[in-house]
Amino acid sequence: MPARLSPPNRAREELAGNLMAVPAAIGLVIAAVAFFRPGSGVDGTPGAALAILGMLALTVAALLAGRMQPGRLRTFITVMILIGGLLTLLCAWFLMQGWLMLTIVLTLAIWLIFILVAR
Amino acid sequence: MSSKYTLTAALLALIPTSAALAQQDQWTNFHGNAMAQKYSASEQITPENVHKLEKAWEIHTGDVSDGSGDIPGTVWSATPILANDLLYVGTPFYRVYAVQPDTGEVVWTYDPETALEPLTQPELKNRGVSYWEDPEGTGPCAKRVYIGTMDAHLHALDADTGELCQDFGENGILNVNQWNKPDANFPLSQLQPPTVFRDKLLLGWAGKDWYSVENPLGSVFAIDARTGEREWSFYSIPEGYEGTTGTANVWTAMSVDEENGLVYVPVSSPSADYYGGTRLEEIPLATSVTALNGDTGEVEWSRQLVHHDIWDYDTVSAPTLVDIPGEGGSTPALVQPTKMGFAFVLNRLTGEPVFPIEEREVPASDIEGEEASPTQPFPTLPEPTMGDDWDGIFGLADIASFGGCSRRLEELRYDGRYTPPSLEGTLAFPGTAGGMQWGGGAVDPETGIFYINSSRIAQIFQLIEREEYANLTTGGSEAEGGLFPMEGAPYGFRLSTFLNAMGMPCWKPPYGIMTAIDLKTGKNLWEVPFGQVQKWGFYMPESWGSPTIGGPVVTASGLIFIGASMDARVRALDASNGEVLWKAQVEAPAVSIPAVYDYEGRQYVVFAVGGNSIIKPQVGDQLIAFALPEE
Repeated sequence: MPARLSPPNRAREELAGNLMAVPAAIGLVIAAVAFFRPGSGVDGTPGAALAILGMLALTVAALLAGRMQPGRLRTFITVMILIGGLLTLLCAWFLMQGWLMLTIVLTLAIWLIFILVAR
Repeated sequence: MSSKYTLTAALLALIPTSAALAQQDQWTNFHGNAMAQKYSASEQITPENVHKLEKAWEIHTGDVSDGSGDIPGTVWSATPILANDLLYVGTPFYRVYAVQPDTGEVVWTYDPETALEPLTQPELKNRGVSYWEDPEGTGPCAKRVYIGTMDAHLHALDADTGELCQDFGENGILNVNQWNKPDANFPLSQLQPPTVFRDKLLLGWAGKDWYSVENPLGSVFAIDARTGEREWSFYSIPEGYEGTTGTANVWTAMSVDEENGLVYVPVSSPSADYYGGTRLEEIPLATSVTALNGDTGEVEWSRQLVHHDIWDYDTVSAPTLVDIPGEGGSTPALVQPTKMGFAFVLNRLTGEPVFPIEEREVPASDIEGEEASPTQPFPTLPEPTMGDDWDGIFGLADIASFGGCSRRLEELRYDGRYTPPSLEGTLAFPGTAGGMQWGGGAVDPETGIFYINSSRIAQIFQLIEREEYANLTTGGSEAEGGLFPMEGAPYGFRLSTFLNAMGMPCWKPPYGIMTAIDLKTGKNLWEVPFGQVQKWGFYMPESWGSPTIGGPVVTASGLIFIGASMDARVRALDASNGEVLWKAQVEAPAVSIPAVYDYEGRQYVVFAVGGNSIIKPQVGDQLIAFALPEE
């Protein structure tokens, strides 16, 4: 059974998780606008819908990771954030959504911080 | 000379120049001017400041359908025209909007209340309106706007109010179908705005392709612009061919040489489109560019661009008329773009080629009853925008389909350009959807440089024996391909684009290019991929280019404005090298020719953004104007 974290460590991890969720949530809004706004260039397309799903998953996963105790499940979710982030970044690149790409890069940058904090 | 006289002389010297420029800076025609040059003398927007372009205004007409409901899908290819201090545009519901050129404020609208049904084309289509001024007239209807409908009616409106002109046709509406044959299988659809020649309107028509052998014979009618009375008719198919063929119609725009009294008509292919066994006798005017005397309709000269056309290589756009500058004086020329990717450059007074045209041997047909022409005309210059051999299998698409593209190719017949349709399926490159399309090209008359977009699309033409076809279900579209009956022929027809199972093109990119041709030498100055392919919202690399529908405009300041691409963007290109200097996202592919004009000291570039399912299933109703920021 993994050791429980001390309250200060726990708080830092939760903060890092929340911080990671902020750009992901902003990206979610950007992806939603791109999907729904006529004239965005990708409105109503499966690609934009995929970006929404990707950003939604990143946001939820970031919030979850910050609140979970260390263990296999958290490791799995942390790795999935990286993989999902990179795939969504690729998706945003092909959709030519620069602001969305920026939010994903920020999310992944904070993910690195989260990894350092969680070590 | 006193300073007073000097000033007067200087002002007098300026008058003709200013008047000429003012005339050129209008956009009174589908092509900007009657010579189909798509040239604007406006110089306010330059390569240096074009990056500052911003939206000046936009309106939404509401006349749009994606075809999912009761109304067929819409295709909006209208070029707005500036005349009478108003901007006029027709919509796919055949309504007319008159708006303020600088604000987009709607001044009046007109609704013909016509049936929105796919009587000939599978979608509702409109390419805009025409404008005519009565040189002797005053009062109501001295200035008129005309719009046609799919059910073959032409409406004449007062340009100031949008009211019907009662002296035209019957209470302002002319039934063009009165000149159709009584038992015709479709009406003479008026989708392209009439061509204005002096006090006449010249009317071609659109029909229903690929469905039958027997169709109305191709014709152009000249009518009095005031009354609608018919003054002359031109027929492209000789008498005696009834029942064995039809069409060879003029469904696209025409161009006019006012000075020489000539009208140039791009004549399409005869029916059946992919089987010529019922029409083996020569039809010299089919798939041609033909010069008519504008006053009488008599043929002055004609040049056939495809002999015995069995590929639906319609002559698709109005030829561009230009006096090619040269050391020994200028050459009165025309440039005729084609679906084959050839641009034929001819002396427009005689029809003789400016650059030699060679008759070259082409593959024979292996279809019983068919006799393909043993030769076809190949212009030696300019270089075609697609080579005589196709570009080859696209490795990425082949890998993605586990060799599916290569396996399909092995099943097909391909012996180079002009390989006839076959029972096993013929690889057609270019297909009927490419290379140069109805938007045609633009020319800078000062430099003699011609700019044109073209597509590179590989399609599969397959004939199906009638007995076998009877077990299949007819259906499809030019966009998606499908099965077409060609009733009256011993074969039905299947059209498909050469894609793998994932929908990727099986042929190498680029799929669309922009080319600059120096008409003085016939040499291509530059050629660049143009636009971006988009699939499921994902943009493919710029080097792939995009299929295009719609045409460019060139300005005296050295810019090319064009929409046309699949990615729903409008762009400004540097005319010296094709580099994209500015682009903006719009709501659908802008499959139209933009209008460029000056109004009260400000230059505007206006796009009708309506989409066309041939390149992408995305529709719009946006009319959007761009200009430099007001100081």
